[in-house]
Formats: sequence, C-alpha cells, structure tokens
Amino acid sequence: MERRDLLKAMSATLGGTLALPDSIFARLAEPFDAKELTFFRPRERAQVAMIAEAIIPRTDTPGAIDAGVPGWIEIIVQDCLPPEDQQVIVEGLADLMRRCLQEHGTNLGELAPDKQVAFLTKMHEDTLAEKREAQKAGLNPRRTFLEQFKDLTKFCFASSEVGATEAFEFVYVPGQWIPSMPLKEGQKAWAL
Amino acid sequence: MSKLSKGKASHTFDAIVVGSGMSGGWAAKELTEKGLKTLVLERGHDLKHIVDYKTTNSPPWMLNWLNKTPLETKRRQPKQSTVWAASRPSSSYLFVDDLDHPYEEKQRFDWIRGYHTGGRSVMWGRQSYRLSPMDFEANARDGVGIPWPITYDELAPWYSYVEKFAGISGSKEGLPQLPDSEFQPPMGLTPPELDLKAAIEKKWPGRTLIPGRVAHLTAPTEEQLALGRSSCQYRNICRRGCPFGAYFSSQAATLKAAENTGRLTLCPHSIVHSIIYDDEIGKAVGVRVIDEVTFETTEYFAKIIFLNASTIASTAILMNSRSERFPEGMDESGSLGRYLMDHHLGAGAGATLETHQDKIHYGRRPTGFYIPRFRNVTEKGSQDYLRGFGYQGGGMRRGWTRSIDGFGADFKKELTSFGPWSISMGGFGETLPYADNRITLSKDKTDKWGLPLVVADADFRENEMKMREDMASDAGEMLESMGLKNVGTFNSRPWMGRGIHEMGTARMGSSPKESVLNKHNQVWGAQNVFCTDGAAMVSSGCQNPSLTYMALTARAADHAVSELKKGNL
Repeated sequence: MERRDLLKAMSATLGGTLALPDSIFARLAEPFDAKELTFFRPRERAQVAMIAEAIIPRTDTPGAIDAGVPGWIEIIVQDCLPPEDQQVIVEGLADLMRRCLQEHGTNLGELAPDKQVAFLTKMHEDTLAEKREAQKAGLNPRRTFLEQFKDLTKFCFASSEVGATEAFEFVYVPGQWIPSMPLKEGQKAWAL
Repeated sequence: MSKLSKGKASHTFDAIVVGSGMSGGWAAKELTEKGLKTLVLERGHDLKHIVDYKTTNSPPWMLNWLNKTPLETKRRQPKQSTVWAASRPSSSYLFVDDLDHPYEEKQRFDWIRGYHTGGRSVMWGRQSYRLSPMDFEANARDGVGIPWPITYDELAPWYSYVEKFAGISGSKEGLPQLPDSEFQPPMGLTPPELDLKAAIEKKWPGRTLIPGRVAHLTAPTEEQLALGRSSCQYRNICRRGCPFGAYFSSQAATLKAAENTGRLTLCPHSIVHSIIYDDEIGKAVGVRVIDEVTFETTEYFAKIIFLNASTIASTAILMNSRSERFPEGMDESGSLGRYLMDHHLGAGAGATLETHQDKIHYGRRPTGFYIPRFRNVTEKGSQDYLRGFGYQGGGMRRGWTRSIDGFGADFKKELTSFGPWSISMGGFGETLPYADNRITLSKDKTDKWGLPLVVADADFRENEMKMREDMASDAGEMLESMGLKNVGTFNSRPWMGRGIHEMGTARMGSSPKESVLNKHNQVWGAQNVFCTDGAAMVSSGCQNPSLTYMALTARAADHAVSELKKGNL
C-alpha cells in the first residue's frame, strides 16, 4: 500500500464509525500514585480501544470499552512496562494497522466480528512464527504485540469494576470456605 | 545531640524489647502481663491496626495500576519486588525501600523486610508448624553444627501456650515428625487434594497430605474475641493487613494484649544502634537509639533487654555492641554471624486435571495442603543427603489468569467460564548450618544513620542441592500416582533469603565456647540480654519457623521474669 493510502486510512480511523466516549480514557479509580496519562497519541488511543474491543467484545455482558479497558491499558503501558515492551506496543499498533489495511483495505474497527477474529488469529500466528524464526536465529525477542496486548486486555477487563462484577461472579467477602460444591449450568467464573 | 537531658528516669523501664514483629510482640505481651513496664522500640513507623491497612478493602479496580507493579517500585525496591506480594501496589508499601536500606552481598542474598509496627507479622505466610523431637535431636544425631540445648518436650508446653492465644487452624494427625498443635477447625481440602491424599497414602505408607496449618481464626475463643479479633472471611488478601484481625499479627494480637495491661510504651522511628554494656557489673544496662527521622541519639535503660529485631538485624546489633568485655561485639565463641540458614524453595511439580469439572470451590482459602516430611523419616533419600523437606501446595479451579486461545466472543465466553482444576506443590527444604554461611558488618560502609552495612555471604550446598532433586521428582511422582498425565516438574536455582525464613547467626547452645545464647536465649556473659527471634535457631527444620520463635519467646520471657524476681538478673 502507498503511503498516501495509509495516511488516508489512518484518518478514517480517527474519524471512524467507532464512537469512543471520552470517559474511557479517564481513570475509573483514582490511582493515588500514578502519573498523568500522556503515553498514547489520540490515533493510538482509538486503535487501543478498537483492538481491545475486538478481543473482548460486548455480548450479553459488557465488553472491553464498556469496562474502561483502553484507559487502564494506557496506565499500565505507561507506568509498568519496561521501555522494550512499550516499544513492542507502539510498533505493534502501527503494524496491526498496516496489516489490516493490506489485507482488508480498512481498519480493524470496520470489519465484521468474525473477520476481526480471523484477522487477529492470523496475525497472532504469523507474529508467533516470526518470533520463533528470531529465536532460531539466536535472538531473544520480546513477547509479541498480540501476546502482550491480549494479556493486558484480559487482565484489565477482569480487574475492572464492570468486567469483574458483570462478566464474572464477584464475591468480595465470601465469609466462608466451601471446598466443593456443584457447578451450576452456565455459571460465571469467580472474578477473584 | 543526646536527649538524655530529659532525665534518665523518663528513659528507664523494667524491660526493653527491640522490635515489634513476630517475636517482639510476644516479648511485649509476656513481659507486660507479668507486670513489667516495657518499652518496645520499633525502627520503622507506627502501622496502626486496621486504620493503616490502606488497601485492605480495595477491590482490584481501586488499586493503583490495577495492582500491576510499576517500574518505579522495581527501581526503589529491586530486592523486595522480586517477591510477588512485595511487588504489588496492594502491599509493596509494607516492604522496605531498598535504596534507603542497603546491604552488601558477597553472594546473592535476598533480604526481604518490613520496617513498621508488627514487622513481617503483618505480611507473613501464616503457615504454622511445630518442630518435632526429631528436629531437636537432628544436629546431635548427625554430628552437624551443635546440639540444641533444649528438647522438644521442654518447648512443647510453650507451643501449646502460644497456639491457644494466636489461634492455629489445622487437623490432628498424630504424626511424630509434625506434632499436632492446639487447633481450631481446619480449612477443608478440595476434590483434587482429596484424590491426591488417597493416591499417595495408598502407594507410599508413611506419606500423607493434610490441610495447611495456618494462624487464622476459624472458631475464635473468648480471649481472641475480646481482643477484637474474629473469624477468617476467606478473602485471601491477608498481606494487606486484616481488618477482621483473623490472622495472627502483632497488631491484632500480642501488642493489643500488651497495650491492655497499661504497661506498654511503643516507640516507633527508633533504630537501635547497640546495647550498652556495663563492664563493672557484667550486665547490659540499656540501648543506644537513633531517631529514624531526626537522627538524634538517645539512650534507654532497663533491667532486661529482649532482642527481637529479626534474625540478621538482631545479630547486627550484637555485633555493633562493643565494650571492654566484648571488643568484637557480644560474643566470645566466634559463632556470632555464622550458621546462617534459610529454607530452599522452588522445586516441585504441577498438573491440570480433567476430572471434577462439575464441582467448584467457594471462597478464597488462605492456605492449601501440606505434605509432611517423609524423606529420612519413613523413606531414605534417593541420594545420600541429610534431613528433608515438606510440601505446600493447592488444588484449585483455574480462573481467568489461565492461558486461553482465540479472540472475540468465543474467547470471552471461555474466559468468563471456570477453567479446569489444577494442582501443584513446592517443597520447603531444610538447610544445614554451615560456619561459612554468615553475615558480617562492613568495615567502611554505613547507612544514612551511620550504622555499618550488613554483609551477607551465604549459599546452599551439596546437601541442599541433592535434596532438591527429590523435591522435584517426588512431587512429580505423587501427582502421577493420582493418574495425571501432564505433570510438569520444576527445580529452579534457589537463592538464600528467598525462603524469607532466614535464621541462625546467634545460635543457642550449652556452652559459651560454641554458642552466643544459652538454653534460655540469654547472651552468654550478658545474661539480662535475651535474643528470641530467628537468630537463636540451631538447626532450621523444614517447617515454617514463626511458631517456634513465638514459643521460644514466651518461654524466655517466663524465665526472665522469674530470674528477675529471684534477683538473678
């Protein structure tokens, strides 16, 4: 794809159909020691939200955006990831966009859910294969972008108030220990 | 600089206890309850029970960084943050800032510390096991180190005494290598744990699996309720401090009891520099203290002094206490600082189950199962080594932290469903006392309070390394015995200190020629100085040691007060 087309597609992403409420970038709690959030550029923020939502979409329970996952990802990438992994995330966002444009001529958020899953699955397999090649070549590659991003999405979703209390069963003070009881049909897993 | 102008009388007590942690809290309780006006010196800040446990009621989304470790924590706490609990925002503030509290390592040594009221009794693992007659006899039998100067029978009533007060949850098993405590009801075993228990008892007579014994209340006594403690609520976020006072800590239990006597003075920010020894009367008369915040020096005086600063810190104080009689510190045997021990961890096995998919557990149990030592008890080691190991483990259903393939709605469905049961265990191995495993004080480097840095120089040896092979392979074989196919074993390089069970360096003994402390934990040549923390240990056993420190402290305090009344101190 030509550079001009790439830029066009990126601007489409920024003004794209996926509406992102400002609140998802706000801190849901007040982490008392965290620094100001300045890590991602607006375009990257939109991408983070798109990818997180593609990984954990809204279904009969809230999805990643409902749970504020994009904002949490930025907090953790900014303050907790070593520079090498921050670089994996930033480069991975651009790489994912490039691959998606090449394959589908548009960005991830525009694809139908099944296409999103197919795209992420293929990119995951391709980048894992690239990592194995690098390992064979004697290099010591970081975990891939999707390995890291998927874990971040999962972790932030399960740790968020919306995710923990609506997608999982959240029992903060169990009050008792029962070592064995029947699992009910369709019962959600414990959040903690 | 000295605050002595305030008058000696206001700085004079019946007893001084250095440290407010696991053993210091016990010294404070016992001495105050026996009528002594007692000063407890805590080098860190005052961490008040409940009100200062700032994360104890925070759900994950109210924790900084959702409880991920920020880079800043790794920078300020490079040692502490290698331990999971110490690295997390929910409890990292309870562990020391390594940059402010440096030490030197000739060989890697991970010194995990908490400087505040209650010390590590706030963040401990709470596993509580008695040593056995076999453990007290081990050194004499094997010709390793020196014999313990006390027998199991001498300590047994004191184990009972501290257990009734602290509250230990566990099951009576009648095992000679792991004597029963005074128990409150145990926390039950899960289906895979019961399967494992049945499988190993069938295949190996002499091996068994029991509920982990923990210092948690499951049926509190009147005495415990009166202190404001209540039953465990099964949240399993104990390392943030417990608002229910359900697990034993100094704040929840011993210091509260001491405070109730009206004879306790707790002085935080008080770093003990050394013990003041009077060469003429042949006794200690007090301690020199540096204010952590103002750097002012002070002296406090008392008839008896209990050193409970933690293993390495108590020994460092003894080393720094120089007088005419003790020009090299309070020891004439040459053993002070030597025979540093720890438990070696990080060898075991784990597997995932396909069975019991129709069952789940409810609540978050703050313990797991325990497999008492069997090597060199009922079965020889597979190689020639002394002593043995016990296992701690758990069999729980996997949650969202497990690895799940895929993306999108199907991934989310799997993520929010229960995973399979998994079961794993890791060994806690005994470490022999070696003269060359030691700490010394730096001759030229000091911390910001002017105290010489501790230099650690210790590592595990051949005996421990041979034992670890059994720790891994026995665990694997036991899991295979319950029919599991996908068993994985592990045996990673153990580092001294990582057991957070550092002990020895001021050992008890029968003679001043070979030990620092006598059979009542009194310093030879300064019999009104008692040291009853981990420093006193003569051998390490493989059991988690805090319960033994508690029992030794209560026993020594009883002896101290009785000797004081007789006019012998």
